Amino acid sequence: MKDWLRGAVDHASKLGASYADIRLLHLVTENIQVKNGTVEAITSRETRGFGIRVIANGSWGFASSSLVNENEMRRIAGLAVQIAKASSTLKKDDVVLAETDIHQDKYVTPIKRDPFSIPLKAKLAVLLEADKVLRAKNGVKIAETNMRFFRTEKTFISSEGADIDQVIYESGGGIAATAIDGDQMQIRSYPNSFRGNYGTAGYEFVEGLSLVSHAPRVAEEAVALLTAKECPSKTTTLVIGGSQLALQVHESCGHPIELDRVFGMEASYAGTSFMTPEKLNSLQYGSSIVNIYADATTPGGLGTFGYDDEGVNAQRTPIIKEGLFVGYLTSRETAIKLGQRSNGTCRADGWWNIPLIRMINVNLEPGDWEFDDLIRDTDEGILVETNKSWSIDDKRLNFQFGCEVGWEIKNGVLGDMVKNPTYTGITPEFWNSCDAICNKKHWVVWGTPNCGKGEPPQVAHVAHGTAPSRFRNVKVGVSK
Amino acid sequence: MIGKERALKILHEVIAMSDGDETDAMLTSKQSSLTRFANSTIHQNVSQSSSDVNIRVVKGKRIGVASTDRIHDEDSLKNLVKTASMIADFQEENPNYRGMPGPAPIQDVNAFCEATAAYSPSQRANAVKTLVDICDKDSIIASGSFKTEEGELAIANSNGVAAYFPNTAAEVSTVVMKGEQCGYAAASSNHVADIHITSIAEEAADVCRRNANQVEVEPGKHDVVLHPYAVADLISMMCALEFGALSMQEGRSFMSEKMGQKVFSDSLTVWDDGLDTSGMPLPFDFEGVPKQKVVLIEDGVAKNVVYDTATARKEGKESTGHGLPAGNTWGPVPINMFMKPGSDTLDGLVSKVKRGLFVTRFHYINPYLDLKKAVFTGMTRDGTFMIENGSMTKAVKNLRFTMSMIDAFKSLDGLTEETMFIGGWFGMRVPGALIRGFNFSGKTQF
Repeated sequence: MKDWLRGAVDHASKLGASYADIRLLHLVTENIQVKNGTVEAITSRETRGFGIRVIANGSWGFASSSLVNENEMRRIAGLAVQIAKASSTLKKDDVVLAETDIHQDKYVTPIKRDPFSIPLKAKLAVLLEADKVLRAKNGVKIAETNMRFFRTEKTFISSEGADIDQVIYESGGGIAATAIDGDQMQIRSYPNSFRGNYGTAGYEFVEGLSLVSHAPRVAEEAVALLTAKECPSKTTTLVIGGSQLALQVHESCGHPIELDRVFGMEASYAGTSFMTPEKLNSLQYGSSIVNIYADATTPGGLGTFGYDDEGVNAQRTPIIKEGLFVGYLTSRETAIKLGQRSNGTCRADGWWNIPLIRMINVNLEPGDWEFDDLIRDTDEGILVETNKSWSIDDKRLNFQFGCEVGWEIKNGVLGDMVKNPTYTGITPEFWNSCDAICNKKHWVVWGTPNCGKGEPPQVAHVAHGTAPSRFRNVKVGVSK
Repeated sequence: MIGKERALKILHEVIAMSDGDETDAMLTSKQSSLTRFANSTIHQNVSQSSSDVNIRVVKGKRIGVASTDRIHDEDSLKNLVKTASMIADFQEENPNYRGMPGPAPIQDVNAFCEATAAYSPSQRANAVKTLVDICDKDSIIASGSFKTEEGELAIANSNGVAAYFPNTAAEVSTVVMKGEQCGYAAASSNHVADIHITSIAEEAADVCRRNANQVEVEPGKHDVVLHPYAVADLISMMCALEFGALSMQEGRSFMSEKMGQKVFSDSLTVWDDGLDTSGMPLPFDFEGVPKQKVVLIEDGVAKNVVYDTATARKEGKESTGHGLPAGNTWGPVPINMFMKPGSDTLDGLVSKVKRGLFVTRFHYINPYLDLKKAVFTGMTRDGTFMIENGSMTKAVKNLRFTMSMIDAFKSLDGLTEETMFIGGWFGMRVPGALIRGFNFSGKTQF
């Protein structure tokens, strides 16, 4: 097989490509969903194919196919060169790639239990039991439990001599209870909304979630929300739980530091970024306790791997240091424009897509607060947990989030539960109002397996390490 | 292209291998090419070729679903059937399973265009160059994409369903910018000849030119005139979440309590019609059931939701032909939407507003704040303008809205006569609209 891959790269070079790479990818997924005592879906998906990326006449071309044989690889290599030549009719500058180390290597996600070797019956037993516990609570109308597993084998070969094999395992799952009463509907989830939490790990990751033991609380809270009071509308102190803060990092830091977006390459789709190059090393993005790193080496993070889809090794890069904006997520094509080398974040969704800059693990470093101390130290405010809705403008400045649940904080004590909590703000003002971050004990890496970007749309698996944190003067209870 | 005969042969062979009581199989095949441009240069130019077979094996009420893209490999197809069968063996009984549909006549609809299928990378590059050149005259920078695609969908089941549909699609969208100014335009059709690149470029550049010196407007309730792009942004979210039978049966949709009631303005009528060639037609659903026209909202009254086989049989009804692929847990969804036009023009709607806003399009709408009240939030984007005394006067910085769509479309006070087809999965045809008292909850800095 490697001969075919090298042959395709050579063929592209012979046809005029100044650079070529090929990714052969074989993805197997398993998805199990239980709803109200019924196994709604067990699906198994397998996909195998390859994508060839070339630079010819100074422009990119990319073509892909699911027909894996030598002739098809040569045909697709030719098509990629033809497409690149068509692209070159409308170019200003030649594409130039930043230098990178050339690797011949293998990387395999360290796992304890292969999720594909665990019998379906064992997985179903956990999900059905959690479902039963959720439904035992009066008022729960919809109980949902799920697990998903991924195994991705990929080989990357480039005309520069890279030859990298990787096997990435990803596992995760979650539970949710929905309570409905007339025109009111409330949902609680664990460990996170929209199908739970995920990591690059084996079945041990799902076992560690202890889904069944959290089901009584989740059901209890969903029903309690129906009679809880509405989140008040005011400007107040906001304490944000870890999983919601992960999405806050994702939308207001992770996306705006993608250097392709900064250079306008996503302008026609999800927009651009307020974090433009002249702000690098000068924008006080957050308060002095805010430190954010892009780290593809975080153990178990959903954005953890050995090499990106340009063959660049996984790295840890400072993005925000003591509140100062100091770094971007980069690719070889974009990094060189800032006189840098790529920090290894160029990844593709499947064999059928061209790699783009994608988040890896973009982590808010832990602070030094105990959670209980942080609440005790707060005179008045709202604690919010678990994302329900999200929206941000096309430069990543004005955001609004809704959460599943909130609690009032009065005189350093958690008080009444509130429903439909929302909050809104402007990114740098918000991060500069951060005055407390919980410590490593409360720090969790939250995996997001559904980050969208690009045209044609691509979905990336990314993650954010966060701990509960406090923000001052935030507008909550945004009017309907 | 795999072709009807070969696609159905593959499906029938797969079904013949199954040991299930019932089996259905779906084949999708796609050749999709997309040229993406930014900063007035092509920065991405891609071609995807893919084929998938999805199979559902049912034993009693136990269901197994598996899929593969290795459709040319007999061993892989055998493994596929074996996997689905094995999953069914391990499954619990699904009481919501109510059998597969039988065969029914499917209306002939032509949505395949040879010119679209044959459109080359050079032709797309030339079209993009035309767009860029028009913008360049005013030093306007263009970004966007031009996609051409040919696809096939084939469905067969052990009850005798055998359906095949080829189609093509061409889509262009562009965001153009000059400093802080920006504009947008898009077009979509089965036929690439319907994509008038010059008009698209001129429309986007015109919005961009007018979108200068933006002023801040305070959030609050404002009368709004929505371009069809903005109307489609709102309606598409409602379709996905509110108008399916499963959402209604589970009580997640506002339709659960409102069926037969007056919910919206008299002016609002929306329907789904997979056979209407003024949209992007699809004559049958992913179970192979012929699509029926379904009126969802008529003169403001909640009339119907769409059904697949399982949700229909639960209520003793027939499927309306809106099932999604096997293995989904979403339930049926309308995907070929139409909204009844009115009698105005966009300028006419603007003339009815003493003080308000014109919105070209919305950005990042999120519908999950409160599904039962259809509370959405999102931003304006790429051309928001102040209306004063019946005329558009100034460009406005973008605003965030947070509002129940029930309340919004209750306050619908005018629609344009002209409708526009707006792309998407299968897209929708909608007019422009005037809504009174649209609630803006925040603002941004540009």
